[in-house]
Amino acid sequence: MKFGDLLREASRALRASPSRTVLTALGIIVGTMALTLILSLSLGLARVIDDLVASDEQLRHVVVMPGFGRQASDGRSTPTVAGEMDDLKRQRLQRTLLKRSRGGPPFQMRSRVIDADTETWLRAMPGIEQSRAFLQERFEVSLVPTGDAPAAATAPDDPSAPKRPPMIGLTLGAPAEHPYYPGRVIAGRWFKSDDEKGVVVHEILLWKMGLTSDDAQKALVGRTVHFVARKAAGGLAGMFFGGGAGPSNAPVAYELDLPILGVIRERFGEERATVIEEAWAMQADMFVAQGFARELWDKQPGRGGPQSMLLVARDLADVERIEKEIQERGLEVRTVREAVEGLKKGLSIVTVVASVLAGIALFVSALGIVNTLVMSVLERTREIGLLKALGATDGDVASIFLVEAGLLGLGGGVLGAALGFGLALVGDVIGRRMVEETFLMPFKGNLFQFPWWLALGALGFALVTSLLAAVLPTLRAARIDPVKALRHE
Amino acid sequence: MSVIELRDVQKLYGEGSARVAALRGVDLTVEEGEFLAILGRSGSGKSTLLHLLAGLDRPTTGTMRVLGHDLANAGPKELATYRREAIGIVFQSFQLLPGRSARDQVELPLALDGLPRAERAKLAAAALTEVGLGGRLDHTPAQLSGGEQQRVAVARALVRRPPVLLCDEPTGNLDSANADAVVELLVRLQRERRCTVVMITHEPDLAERAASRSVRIEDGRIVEGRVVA
Ligand SMILES: Nc1ncnc2c1ncn2[C@@H]1O[C@H](COP(=O)(O)OP(=O)(O)OP(=O)(O)O)[C@@H](O)[C@H]1O
Ligand SMILES: [Mg+2]
Repeated sequence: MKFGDLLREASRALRASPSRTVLTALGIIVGTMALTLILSLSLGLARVIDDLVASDEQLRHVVVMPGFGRQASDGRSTPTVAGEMDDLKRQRLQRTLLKRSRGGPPFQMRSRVIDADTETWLRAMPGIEQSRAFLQERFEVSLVPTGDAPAAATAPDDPSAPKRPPMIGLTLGAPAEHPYYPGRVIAGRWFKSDDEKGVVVHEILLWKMGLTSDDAQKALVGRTVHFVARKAAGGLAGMFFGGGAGPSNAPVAYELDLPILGVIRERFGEERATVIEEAWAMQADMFVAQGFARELWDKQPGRGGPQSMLLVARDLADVERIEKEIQERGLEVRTVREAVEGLKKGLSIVTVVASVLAGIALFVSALGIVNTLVMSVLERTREIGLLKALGATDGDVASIFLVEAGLLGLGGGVLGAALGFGLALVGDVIGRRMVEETFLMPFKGNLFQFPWWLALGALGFALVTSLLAAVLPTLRAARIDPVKALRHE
Repeated sequence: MSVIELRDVQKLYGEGSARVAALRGVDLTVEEGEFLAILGRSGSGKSTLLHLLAGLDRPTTGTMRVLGHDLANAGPKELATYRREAIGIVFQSFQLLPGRSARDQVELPLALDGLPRAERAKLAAAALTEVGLGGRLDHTPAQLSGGEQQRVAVARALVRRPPVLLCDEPTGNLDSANADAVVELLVRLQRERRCTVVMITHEPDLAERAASRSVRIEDGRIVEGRVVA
């Protein structure tokens, strides 16, 4: 029999019982659709993760935060836990002792910073290309009035006037050489050197001061800001307010005047940023040059190192080792690499589970094909007998049913893949919004990747599944005894 | 030259106590161009013999040669080839495919041979015209009378121009008028085409009218032979 005739026979048989054909195909359609959607989303998400971080140096970023250390706060070495117990319990108790040695109730806790020795050690670690201390400081700020400009935001000196709380501003140290801060300056300029004594003000602080228009903000460049730093206190306040510049009733530690060098705006629209920098800059009202920020930091007595540090490894392959060494020193470490790996691991687990579910759907639809073909063989027993009497070989009979299954698989596969593609387009629009909201970054790529090989693969998978499902019924049809079949009613 | 040669053909069905001997040593020779009628009572083994002749089944013992094919020892592939090239079959119950046009029914054997569609259509139309159904090409079995249906089946059996035509009670499901018409058709076609016909029937006068020779099967054996005119 010619292939064209086989196709005609098969499609005639499928058309003969349309509802059965549609239901059987529906199983394949849904299974194929689910599989393509899942794989397409998984490919897309992996791409999203790569696009957001892998393209720049962020994977080499290592953030160090103070941990409980290996030593008790009194400087003695690691507390020993004696007695009979397993290692896990010993470790747990050791950590508990370390924690408790830090002090009593939270208000008496020393502010948590990386101590000076540790900072030196971190900066000297092999394989580190760059290091930066994150220094955030809390000040009471006011604009110094000038002769020609009225004091817009300073409180009047009239003692009878109601006492307003002083305006609080957080500064963040940032290097003069920076990939994107200079580009965000909307008036004046960014720092020329790390030691420059000046301040770049965030537009939000000016807005809080009542300076809303761009012109008013521009006019501010060159004016002077008065800073009051209260004495650092420990406890919760210290933990919450960047290293512990004191509350407003604490004694004044120092005061200083700094010129406004420029006005910086918030990250906006399509602009890229690094995850770690963004986290630190989130609350910053002002920027001071990195070296000068250090100078201010050290003005508060007894502080030691910074609250947090960013290390950039020279080599991506080195990140894991660096991470481990720092952890062994009792510090807390966060890396983008780790986060990305976690995301990818989670993604692959979800993908595998979802694919298995979709596979089960296809398997069930394969059972549907088996059932349909068995029915078809049974109904056409006489026809098969006649075909054999007319000289059809077992192979001829088998190919009729194989082609029938192939048509079901191909039709269902094409429709399923097409439907998956359509849903992926819709899902892309929804998903893109979600990605942008979650990562706070513009996202240009496709959330659902739909490469040609995925479409072809899904089609092939549907076809192969259908053909495999057809094997048993087909053998059954081929082995039908024509004499018995012709007697069959 | 004899077209069909059967020697001591036995056919057993079933196993053990359910064992049935449908044929118990059939010897039969049919010459080219003969119209042989096989008579016999129900259950005597007529259909069994015809199925063996059609290559749809194989004898338990004995030798069978039809047109040079060793049917007793042929494999399934050779039997299929034999059925395609050597014989045409007509059944008592027509065995037409429901819902298909007369043209489709007759084209079916040609499609199995892989003939191009145009040629198939031409041959099928010619065969249907030959059996007097030139005007019914597109009618389905449901739209045809019993006699017409059997004529479609005859056209289907003869469209390949097989040297041997096998008929298992071709008139068994027809009233006498239709039966006469079908038998006349078979006789005419056999004369025109000079093919060999083996026809099973249990009506002796039908055999007498159509066949050049009749044999009778009783209990799985051929018991008498009689040459008609
Ligand atoms: N597949 C089978 N299994 C077991 N016994 C069978 C089978 N086919 C036929 N027989 C038996 O073989 C014997 C001959 O059957 P066969 O069909 O050849 O008879 P027949 O002469 O064609 O009868 P009828 O005139 O009723 O068609 C019967 O006894 C029947 O029961
Ligand atoms: Mg019979």
